[in-house]
Amino acid sequence: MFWPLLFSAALLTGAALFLSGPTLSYRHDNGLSERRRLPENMGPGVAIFDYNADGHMDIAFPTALFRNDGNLKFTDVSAEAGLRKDLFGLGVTTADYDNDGHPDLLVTGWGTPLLYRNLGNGRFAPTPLAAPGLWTVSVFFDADNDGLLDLFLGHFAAYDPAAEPACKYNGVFHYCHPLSYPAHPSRLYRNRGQGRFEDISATSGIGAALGKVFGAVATDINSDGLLDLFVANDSVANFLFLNRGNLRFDEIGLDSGVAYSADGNPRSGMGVDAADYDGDGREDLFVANFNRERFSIYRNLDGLNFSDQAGPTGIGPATQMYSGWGLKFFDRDHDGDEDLLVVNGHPDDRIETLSQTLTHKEPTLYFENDRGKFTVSRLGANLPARGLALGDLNNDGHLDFVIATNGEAPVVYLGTPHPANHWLGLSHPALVPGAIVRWSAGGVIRQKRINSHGSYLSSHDPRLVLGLGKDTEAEWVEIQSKWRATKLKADRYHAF
Amino acid sequence: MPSDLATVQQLLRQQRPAEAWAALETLLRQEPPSLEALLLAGRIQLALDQAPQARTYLTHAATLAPRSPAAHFLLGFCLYLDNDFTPALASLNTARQLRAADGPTLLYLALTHEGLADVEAALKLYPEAIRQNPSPEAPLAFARLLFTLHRLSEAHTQIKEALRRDPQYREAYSERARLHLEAGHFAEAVADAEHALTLPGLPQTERQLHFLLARAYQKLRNEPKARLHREAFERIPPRLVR
Repeated sequence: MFWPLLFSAALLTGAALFLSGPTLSYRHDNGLSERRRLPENMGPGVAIFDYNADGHMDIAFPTALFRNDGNLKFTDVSAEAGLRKDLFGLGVTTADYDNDGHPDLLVTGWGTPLLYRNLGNGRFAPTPLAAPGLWTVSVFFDADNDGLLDLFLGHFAAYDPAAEPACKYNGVFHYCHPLSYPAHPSRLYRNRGQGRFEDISATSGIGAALGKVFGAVATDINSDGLLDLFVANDSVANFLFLNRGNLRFDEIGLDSGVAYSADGNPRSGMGVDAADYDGDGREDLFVANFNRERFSIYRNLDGLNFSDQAGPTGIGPATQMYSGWGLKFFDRDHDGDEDLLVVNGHPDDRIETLSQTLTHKEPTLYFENDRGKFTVSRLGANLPARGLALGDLNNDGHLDFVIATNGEAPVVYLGTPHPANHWLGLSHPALVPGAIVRWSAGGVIRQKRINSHGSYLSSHDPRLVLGLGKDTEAEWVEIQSKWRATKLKADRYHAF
Repeated sequence: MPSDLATVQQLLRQQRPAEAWAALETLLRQEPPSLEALLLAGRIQLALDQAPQARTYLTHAATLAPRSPAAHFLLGFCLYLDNDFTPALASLNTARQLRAADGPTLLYLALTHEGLADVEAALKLYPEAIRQNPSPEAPLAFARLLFTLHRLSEAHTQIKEALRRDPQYREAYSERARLHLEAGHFAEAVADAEHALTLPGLPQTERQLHFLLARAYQKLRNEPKARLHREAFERIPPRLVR
């Protein structure tokens, strides 16, 4: 038994891992009603991206955009950028879907999802993407390797506010269990180029799966060169859509072991991510679930079969009491392995009237990876957290993060330097989802696959920061077989 | 209207719950109500899956009789079932102080520590709970914890103990099938799960068994049986609680 002692020790050191960052003049409006309606407790997500190509990472929420003016000064440019304030926004994702060099925005929510094309002059032009619904996650990924980003658009349950069930305990409204709402299909769009998307939900097989989708990540689970989709559902089975080529997907969640708990029970999947946490060359999957369900860390056994390692990795006991949302694997300490950040919050803001054990606001958890086992640290104050985006807001190579909170102001944390380890930043057009980056430092060869998004209704700084350990130079770095460079100096960004 | 506890219990044995409850309410209206009436009311509400109501009666019972281990145990048990582990722990600890070697109290203390993610405490308590508790539930609960920690051979030992205590214990076969599946021993998983299906047990275990068999037969490439059990699994709704 290794983890209980480490758990206690790590609690003491958590505060030094990150520092409080700048405040943003934004407060999420969750539309809180006495009735406690379903969409109120879902949002928001957050995105980190450089919308104006000035070299500083900006921050977007579904209805707000903050320009990074350098020196960690942020200016609200929502109005001049053309972001609509009248949406009940939930998710926000960035990607350059039209390959014009300017990252675009997609905002989901209760209503019509909007695709905002970045015009390259500081403004965005919105286009409705689908009929109104309760649209949650969006994942841009190249499903057919044609160089154009296709789009998975996740939908939560079928929701009719006029038919909202009344869920009362002791005479007081609480949010209803997701079982109160029927499952609903999501969509897959093929990018036809020139900004046009074709709905291929039916022919792809994606539209046949009825879910209550929250989180999704595109990764290549079986290393066949085709991006697959892992989708977390709330109260119904998770989906693992295996890409068979020709834009067809098979749902293999049950057979692969990621659909249900070991007892065969669906869990309340929210945030997801994929990474090779144990360094065996295969992408593993992570899902943040509801309290008492434990979060899942599915080790990829052979490309098609997974085993939940929540117990032996220490993830299970550390997450048992929390409800997780945004999460992301990243190498915080630049030692070359995948650490993990998870933000939490009970969805019911009135939970403390029903329980002396659970709280509405929950801690942010940082998991340090030590050869496939994790030690946990709690960071800062408890929050009603939802979205989480990672990025380097001050270009110092130490990844920062933004937590989007439900009904409150976002919280920014800044990464701190590791006393001994070095890093190398990469910005390159070939850093697209699915690409494998390999690098050598001090004779140690490491690799990492680029995945699309991950977290909860959020997206991240597209640049890559590689851990070099104690070495001050990478002997070589390569992206797939498309690009290679040698003798790259540490502790700086290299843009190509 | 009957108004003594023996009558209430007789009505319950006769499967006349409405009349039993009416009789019990008469007893509960007495001031102060008897400890036995409050405990019985709590038990009935628990049996009806009404944990909040049970909590009210049992809290009253524990307040009325602070030296009653039964009152504190039942309150802790009720809070555990309601997933409110922090106060459950307090009640169960009180019950343990009042009756140190009580098997059910030790078992639910272990389960509550596990619920609070204090695995170290749970690992220490389970062996004592097993010693003090002749039922097969305690070794099975310990096996489940060991399974989550991937201590599979130790889990097998506990299942063996559960089956020694009750050779027809369906949940133990089900758990052993899970262990076999996790270890990649698919034929053994099928054998245990198929046998478990022939034994009486809870509907939820039946759902778990079909789930397990669907996966095990799929690994054995027996598609017809995998499909059969997958369909059976999907026919039984999951039990989800928040």
